Amino acid sequence: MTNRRQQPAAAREGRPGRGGPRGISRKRVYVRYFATLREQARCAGETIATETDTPAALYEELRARHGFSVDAQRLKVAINDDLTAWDAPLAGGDHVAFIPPFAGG
Amino acid sequence: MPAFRISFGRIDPEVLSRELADDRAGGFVSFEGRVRSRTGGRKIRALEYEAYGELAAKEGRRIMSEARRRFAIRGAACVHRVGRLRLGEIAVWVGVAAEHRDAAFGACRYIIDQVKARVPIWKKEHPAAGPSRWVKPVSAAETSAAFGEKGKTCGCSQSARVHPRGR
Repeated sequence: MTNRRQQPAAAREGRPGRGGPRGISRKRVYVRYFATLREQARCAGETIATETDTPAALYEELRARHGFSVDAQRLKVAINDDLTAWDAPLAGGDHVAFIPPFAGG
Repeated sequence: MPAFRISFGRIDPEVLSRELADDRAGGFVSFEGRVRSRTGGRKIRALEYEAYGELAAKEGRRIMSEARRRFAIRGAACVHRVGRLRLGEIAVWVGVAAEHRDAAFGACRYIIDQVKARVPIWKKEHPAAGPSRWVKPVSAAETSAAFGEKGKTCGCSQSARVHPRGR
């Protein structure tokens, strides 16, 4: 998968590669979608092979693929069921959840 | 039974309040959030709730512990339902048992406000006419403030003012 819309955060050099050539790591992560994003992706979750290193870059990649209408600024992100920063490192096997604005109750 | 949980089936207040039965509790307060027939001038046919279960459970448990720390209560429980709900059905239930009523009222108010602001649960309105839509939080700032901090914002029409003090 190519990173057509690479974010600056993901473009950082020098991150140790995970078995990929020339430091490019291609990892598999499981991504979950809720509400609007789930409907736009037409699935509640999917396994993604990606070279992105952060949730921010991953979201932009998935946004290009699924045509998500929601800007990342309006979302929260969780890795392995804990809220995290958008520039946190992504590791192979991570579960990444993109969380649209919610209003329960 | 965890003090906070997500339910896929009908919420039964009788069963839930029995779980909080306590001889030393002189006060018991409960709140039921129900599906109402109108919102923003639109006639509603049904509501559909969806949760990020794992994170909702974590955040819900945190809120229940906070309530226990802040208020002199004996026990508390909160159940939020997911799935498609008809008019009048209970979407969320909070029950608090305390020795005295002030703590019971305060904790109940605290829990429902915090749950609405912090627990990742989405609500889709199915109106009698027109397209269905996901309900937006009252303001974008509210959601950003929702996680972490002391933000006591809620989607209720009244403002939340809870006093972290018993009796």
